[in-house]
Amino acid sequence: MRGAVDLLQFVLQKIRNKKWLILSLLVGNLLMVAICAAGPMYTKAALQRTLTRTMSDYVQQEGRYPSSVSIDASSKGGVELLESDEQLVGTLAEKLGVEPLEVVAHRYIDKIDFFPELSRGSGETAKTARIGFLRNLADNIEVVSGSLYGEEPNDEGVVDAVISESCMIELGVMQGEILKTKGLEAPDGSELRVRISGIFRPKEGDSPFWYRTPASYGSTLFISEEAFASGISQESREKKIQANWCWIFDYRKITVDNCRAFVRDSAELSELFEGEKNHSYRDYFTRLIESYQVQAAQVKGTLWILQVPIYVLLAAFIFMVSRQMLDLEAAEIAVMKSRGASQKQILGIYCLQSGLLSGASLILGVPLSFLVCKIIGSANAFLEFVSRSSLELEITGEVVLYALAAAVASMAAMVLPVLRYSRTTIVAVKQGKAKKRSAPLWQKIFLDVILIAVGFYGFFSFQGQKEHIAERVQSGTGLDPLVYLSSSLFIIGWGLLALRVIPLIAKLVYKLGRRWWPPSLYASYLWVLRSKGGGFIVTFLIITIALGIFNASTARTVNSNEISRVAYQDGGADLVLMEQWGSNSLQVESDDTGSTSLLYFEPDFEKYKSIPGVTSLTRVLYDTKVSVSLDSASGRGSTVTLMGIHTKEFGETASLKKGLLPEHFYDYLNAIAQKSDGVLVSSLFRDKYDYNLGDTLIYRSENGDSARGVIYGFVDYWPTYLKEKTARNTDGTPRKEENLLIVANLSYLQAQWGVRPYQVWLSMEDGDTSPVYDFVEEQKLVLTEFRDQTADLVTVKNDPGIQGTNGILTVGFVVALALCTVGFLIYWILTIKNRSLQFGIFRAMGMSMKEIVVMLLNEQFYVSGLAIAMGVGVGLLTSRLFVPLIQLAYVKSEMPLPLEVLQAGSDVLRLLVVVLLVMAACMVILGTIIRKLKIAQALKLGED
Amino acid sequence: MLSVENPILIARGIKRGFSLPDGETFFALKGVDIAVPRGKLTILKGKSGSGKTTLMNILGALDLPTEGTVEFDGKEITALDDEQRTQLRRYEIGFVFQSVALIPTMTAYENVEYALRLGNFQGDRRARANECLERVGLTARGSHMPAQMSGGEQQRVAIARAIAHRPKLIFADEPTGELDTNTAISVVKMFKELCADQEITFVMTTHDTGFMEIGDAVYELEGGEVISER
Repeated sequence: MRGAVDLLQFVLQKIRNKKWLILSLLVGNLLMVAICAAGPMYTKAALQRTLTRTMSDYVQQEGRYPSSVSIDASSKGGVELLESDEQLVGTLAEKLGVEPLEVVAHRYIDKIDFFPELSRGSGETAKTARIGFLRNLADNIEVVSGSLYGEEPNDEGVVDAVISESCMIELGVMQGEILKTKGLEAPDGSELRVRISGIFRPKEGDSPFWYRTPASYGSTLFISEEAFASGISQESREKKIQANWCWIFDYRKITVDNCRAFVRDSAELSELFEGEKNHSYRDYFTRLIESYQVQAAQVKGTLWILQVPIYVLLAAFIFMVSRQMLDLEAAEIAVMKSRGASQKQILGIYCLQSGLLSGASLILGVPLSFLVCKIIGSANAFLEFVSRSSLELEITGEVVLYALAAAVASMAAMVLPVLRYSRTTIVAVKQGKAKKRSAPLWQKIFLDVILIAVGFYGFFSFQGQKEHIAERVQSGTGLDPLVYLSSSLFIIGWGLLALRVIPLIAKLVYKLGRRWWPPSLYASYLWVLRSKGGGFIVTFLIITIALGIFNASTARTVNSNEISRVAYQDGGADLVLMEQWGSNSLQVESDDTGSTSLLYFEPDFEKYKSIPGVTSLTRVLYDTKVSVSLDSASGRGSTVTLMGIHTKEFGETASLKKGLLPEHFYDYLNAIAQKSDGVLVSSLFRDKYDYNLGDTLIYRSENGDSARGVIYGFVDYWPTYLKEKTARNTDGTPRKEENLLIVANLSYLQAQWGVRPYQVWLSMEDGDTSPVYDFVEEQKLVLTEFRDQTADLVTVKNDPGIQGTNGILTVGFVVALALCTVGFLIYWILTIKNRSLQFGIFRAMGMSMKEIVVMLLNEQFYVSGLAIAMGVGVGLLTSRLFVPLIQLAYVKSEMPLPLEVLQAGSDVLRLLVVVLLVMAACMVILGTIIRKLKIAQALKLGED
Repeated sequence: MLSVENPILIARGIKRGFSLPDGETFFALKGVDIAVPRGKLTILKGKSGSGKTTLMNILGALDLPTEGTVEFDGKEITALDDEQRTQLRRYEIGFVFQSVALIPTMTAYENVEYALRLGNFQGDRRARANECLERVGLTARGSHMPAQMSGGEQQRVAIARAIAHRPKLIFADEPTGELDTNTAISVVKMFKELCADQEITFVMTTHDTGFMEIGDAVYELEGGEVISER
């Protein structure tokens, strides 16, 4: 026990003595734990959000709870079966482990003919309706007229019923009216009579009880459950009863963890009903969960892969710092040994020390991971944040496991090197200093060259399979992790190679100027050449900077391509909308002579001009059902997409990214403006069907009206135009189909074909589309099409894959910066401290402060300067090679534009500014240390 | 203070105080007067903690006294600024330190030659460096790194380096501390010879009473004061 306390005191003393080093180790460990824990935490929260959003979207679109299970049964098998079904429903909650919000039990007898008891005149026909009950109906309605039903039939055997407002209209009955049934008997054998006691409407329309609207129950006379049992004869009931149980629970209860169990349990339940004729079972969530799972797998894969380099970086950092510390402590360890400490005791000391560090990191790191998740979750683009609905973050077993693994791994990185040192004695340390260091193993086996070669191999082989990769991504397999791995290996390879190259450069320069070097530079060259220069810091700097740049350009590229895609697909207009057009189609149909032609009633176009904030607008006829005869000889035809435009307005409203077309966008518009029947066509007409400029095309509308066009230009890109359409094969795999385009003058088309429904494209001041929403609401416009570029962009940015990518790459970049700073400071401060004896000698020999600073600057140039330069170079090269491959992971099935790799110059600059600031700070600190260095003291310090 | 004819170095009333953590000042030297004869071997003798290394650092312009003056060749070096003292050390003074203080990234030859570079030696640096190595009997080990040599060999390289640029004055702090008796004697003998051949003045500290006879002047220190001089 005493021994343990002593040990602890010893270690605490040691920590106090090396507080800066320990502090940086702590920073590394802390980041490692926090980021490792944030990975699963964020992924889970993001996926949960996606899952919940999938569910809530379904509620909005379908008006139905996806988190529901329903069983339909009919009583052909006897009433007993219904009773057992009821029990089964009872076990559902148990099975799925979630309390239902509502279990809606409904039984009814269908197709009952009713007659009013008091005939209202001749020609009275039977009305067909249902009679049944909804359990707990009374609690969920508001009776708007009359009163609720009584529980039992009254003295005359009349059963009370309530009906919905829509049922009242449908059946044409009144409150208080008594209806006679036909074919449905009361227990005494007489025909059942029903009185409409009241009209109801739902108490709360959005309560789960009304998962089906009252109207969807059709003409149902709702009576009480008791009356349903006692008021109708047994025989009548057995024949025809149908039952439906809908079991609804809160969709937020479906979580990332239990969704699999939901699907499985539901499948098991449905098996029970298999082969049953009179029963059917269905759930509404399996399909949604399954489609979510495909997306989740993709997102998970991408996010995980993106995190790997950060882990590598952190591990390298911890390893570097602990090595540095051990180098400093080698003699200390040896002394401990010579004083009789066993290897076990020494290991014990280091285990305790790193255990304390890892423990502290664990305690502080897990809370810190919440912050990291928040940062990731609020990333809107690279290094850009917005406030979003907060993620539901929680510490799960997985999170703790990751954090623990990180802590253990970093402990290992700190303790393992001690093994080597703890075996050596003081004699060996001194001898070790004497031994000429031979090249490390990795250099002998040319690991650096191998890694770079592997990177290149990965690049070339993936480059060759680009199409294949893109297909795999679109079918949901996700990007091959090897793509990312080869880029990381490529960077590491260069980082290691630098350890060979930089001394070579130094040697070359040294040799060239050998005769002229002043004493300071001479000494510094010998140091760079003989002390292995910076060693690991060089590799570390290169890897960090290169990864930072690579991260930045990956994020920038992914974002910018997504933004360009959305802008292109929305035609560059802020809004595209189409109103519902009236037509005389009914008349045309009923006219057997065929003499009536189809006419559309054009809604007022001018009204859009009055919307505040509209900067320009235009009409665009967009028709995908136009056909063209491509070869007059064979008469072969093909469908084309036709766009009818007003050239001037179109040019003002739509836009096209520069560089997509060889000439300016406007030049093409001007070309067809010259002649009313001038057209622009997609390049396929030229490349595949041998059309030339000036050729004439004949194309026809769906109803056979023809038009002609003289070709004034060929285009590969046009606002909204996709060169290829993706069609699905029968097995669901995507298939590309060529897509032809004709752009014609709208006025010409209208003259030829009459006015046909067109889209309205709008461009808004500052892209603010809200006035249009207000306008549509105010004018009660019925729109058949509506695309908002801003909203589309928001959707893209909220995509969990894109969002997580931005977040993780941002965090990676920031971590790289932080590690760069800390690593750099530690390295230089330690080096100076280690070399204080040497500086003492130089100073004693009469070297001035200025000369020492020159010496250090020269060393900085070779160690840090060249490493930074190489890091930037390697980062740019790696981005150029691998970003196009990584980008494939984000390509939607329809990426109409050529991919562009963005070299984010501003990010490189940002990185460099930070690094240079750190370097400058370092030099100031070093300068202070050296200035304060007492020569006599330094010489004393050097004594062993 | 001994009366010395044409001394190269005269120190008067040297006090050197160090601040202690409790705010008190500890005086390692409590008023020392010393004169160093030109072209001779002067020995500063004393037990460890007697203040001899502190005194030597002040005499060698590595450190400044709290009180008192040092004159080198008639110049008051305690009045010089850092830059001027640096120049002085560079051209006129050499050191051989107690701990082996070679530059670890340079070979024996380069260590010696480096002193010539620093001292702006006019002439054939290679010849002079080799000559100095020869003088200490290490011609054969010129291309070895310090870490590859024994303590004694390193000490000799340090001496070769100290004499290379022909300084007027060399300070040697416990040069024999880590050497066996025979080597130690040969080192001190070498100092004597160098005094004679190269007209260099040597000041060495030692706790070893064996060399007293060899010294031309001997000061014994104890508790920061000179207790005997000869």
